[in-house]
Amino acid sequence: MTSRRSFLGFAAFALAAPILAACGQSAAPAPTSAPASSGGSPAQPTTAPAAAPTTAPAAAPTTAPAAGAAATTAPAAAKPATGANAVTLEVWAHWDQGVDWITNAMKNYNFPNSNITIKKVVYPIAEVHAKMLAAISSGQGVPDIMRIEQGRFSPFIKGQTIGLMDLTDKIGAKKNDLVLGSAVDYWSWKGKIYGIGNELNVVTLAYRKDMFDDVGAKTPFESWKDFEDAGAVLKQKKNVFATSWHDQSEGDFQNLTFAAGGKYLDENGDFAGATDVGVDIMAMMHDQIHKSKIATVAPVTGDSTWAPPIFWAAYKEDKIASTMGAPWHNGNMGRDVQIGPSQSGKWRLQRIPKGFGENKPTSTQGGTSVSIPTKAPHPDEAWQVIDFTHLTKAVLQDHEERGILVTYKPALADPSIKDKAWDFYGGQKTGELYIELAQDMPRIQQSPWKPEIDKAFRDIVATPILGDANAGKNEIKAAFDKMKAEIERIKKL
Amino acid sequence: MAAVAVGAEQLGVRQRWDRWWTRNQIKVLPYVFISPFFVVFALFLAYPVVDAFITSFMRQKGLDPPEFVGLTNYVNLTQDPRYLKSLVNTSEFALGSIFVLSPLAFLLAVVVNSRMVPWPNVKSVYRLAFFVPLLTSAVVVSLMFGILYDYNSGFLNALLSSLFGDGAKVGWIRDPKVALWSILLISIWQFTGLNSLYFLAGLQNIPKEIEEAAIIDGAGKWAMLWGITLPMLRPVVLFVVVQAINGSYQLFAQPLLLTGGGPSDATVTMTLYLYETGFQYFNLGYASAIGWSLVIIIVALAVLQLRLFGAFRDD
Repeated sequence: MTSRRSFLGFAAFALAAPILAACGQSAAPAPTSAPASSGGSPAQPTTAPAAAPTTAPAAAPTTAPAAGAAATTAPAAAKPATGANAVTLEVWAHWDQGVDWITNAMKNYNFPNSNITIKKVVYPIAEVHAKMLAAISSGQGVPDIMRIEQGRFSPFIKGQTIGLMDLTDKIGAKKNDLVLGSAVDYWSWKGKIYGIGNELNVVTLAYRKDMFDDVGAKTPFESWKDFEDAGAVLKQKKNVFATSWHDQSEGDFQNLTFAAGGKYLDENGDFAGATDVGVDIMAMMHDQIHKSKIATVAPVTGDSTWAPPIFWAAYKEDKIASTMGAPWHNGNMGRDVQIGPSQSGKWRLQRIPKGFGENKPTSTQGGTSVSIPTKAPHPDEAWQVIDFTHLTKAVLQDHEERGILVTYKPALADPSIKDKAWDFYGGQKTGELYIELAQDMPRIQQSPWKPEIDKAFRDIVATPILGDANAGKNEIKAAFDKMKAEIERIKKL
Repeated sequence: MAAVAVGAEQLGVRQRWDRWWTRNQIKVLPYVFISPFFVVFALFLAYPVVDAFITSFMRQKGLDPPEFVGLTNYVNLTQDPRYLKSLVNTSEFALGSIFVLSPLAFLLAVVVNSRMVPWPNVKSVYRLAFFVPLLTSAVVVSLMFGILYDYNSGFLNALLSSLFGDGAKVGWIRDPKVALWSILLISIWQFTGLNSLYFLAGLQNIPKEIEEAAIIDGAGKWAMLWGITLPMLRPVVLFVVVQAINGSYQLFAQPLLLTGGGPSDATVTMTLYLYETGFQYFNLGYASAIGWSLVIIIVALAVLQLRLFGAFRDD
């Protein structure tokens, strides 16, 4: 009898424990503790490799949705502060290094407030922004700092309530020290700044100098016309495509539109790319694929519509000779996850060729912010950390760890950026080029409807136009009109 | 004195509890043992399902509080071309599963069950081989087929262009007219084997005496198939078809990973549209309405099939 009673008592406890544990969960997702290197499904590493791209230009998910993927939490490398004034800031991100570099910067660049330490919480990218929204919405388990990927910022500004602190006054005069197109524009709405990005995502054209040299083409290319002429010879002599254009991403169109001095989105968050220049840009991409046949449609997959392994495989196999993008895309292509070292010395970077509108030399593409929720437990301390790591030379820590360029101008002049010669790019000092181009970085707009607009652009304009050999400017204009109507319809849902 | 009284009272409560427990434990214990399932079910399935139903009558913009909009989300569904496209795509896929995948699985089972494969060990090898594709995750399968389907360097187009020239290349996942069928091809590769195992099990359970009696009566192969095999397999066919429809209407991973619903929504399925609406646009009310419409469709189709196959008949 006693043993049966004990068994029943144990059974009741075992039943009650998970119920109580479940009830004890906050409405916001409470991350489970796990070793820092684990978490996420196999398809979704939360740890980005060194210098791995941290941003994606398309709103489309860059990773598959993870079912039940756990967060990884780990205390920061810095020694935990103790004492009455000790504060531990919780920072949420979608990759480990996205928090680690902040912790390391605090340590290596002597962050003055030793009472503050960082607790890292990492979720897969497909989940982290939904969890951020849930936390803000419920007010439960709100972190102190959120790292928000630009393509997923829109839901935060969709309603009247914006659960993020306006950082405009806090940044103050230091705004002049930032390359604004990459540092704040993606996280700004109606004149207020809700986040700061530390990556200078200045867009360049990377091209195979060896191939173009072999066919007698002059590089760097002054204009798209020159590029097309060279591409025609390259295709004829080597059967290599001069470039690839993305038919399932708005990235190429955005970059060329920004470089033309145009807008993809306007101040009200509406699509603004349906201009004559926009039509010309689409027509150029279309004609390069279907008329001159010097370009191909970028090989991508549904879950990664910009540069999945299959994309880089085509470059490794010498099938395509150029690609346009930000440093996270083409600034360090010698990594094994991209082209690898086999083509070292064969590539060069240059400004975006001329040919449209204002002929600006560059664009901006991608980025991840640091933002402070309005319900953050320690907003002042969170700002101290952001101010130190993003608005001083401490930002160079991320450059040291990943090789990214930085948006804080005084740090950009650092010799480690400016003077480094890259073997992969034939000894080219790419930092010099990036710094020069950053002077002309365009300003851009954000929109509460950006994912919807991007999707409509892909489905109604990019894919059908780039896939239809017979499409001309009239079809492009009609597609833009149809796209606008679709966006208006979606807004009403 | 008071402490003694309290102690006696506690003892009395304990004795009463013991008596009650002795009388009722047989009735109570089964419920205790099955309760973990119901607790988990209530917390993680029933509650979200009910909450989603309530949310489907709301409109929520960003972080603003939800606003009750009645049936507006459901009315909008009927006028939403993307939703209707996803419904058509999903239904086409389901039809493909029923009329292409399932017959293929049946054929495979008939062949393995026939005298063409007379050795039991070889039958076992086939059974194992049929099961292998199912062990491969949807992510890996999608990546693998993504490489096979690639327009410029994929194996299929390389084969076609080597045989018939460059003009024979197919936009397997790039051509809106072809992309959905390319995804169906993946399902056929992955699930035909499993379904054939169901059929095989059914075929092996048909009593030999019935077949022998039919042969003695002079029944030919076709007569055997239509008159004996298929009627005897009715429960298996019902199961396979219900599974095929359920699986088809929940198709998600392959189009997400392979095409993202493109090109131009050619492969967007209902679950993919739900995911996009809920987790990219964060229009949770509308996404909930999509989810509930899916529930209604699947339940309606399941009931229809049960009736068509006579699942409610007594025979």
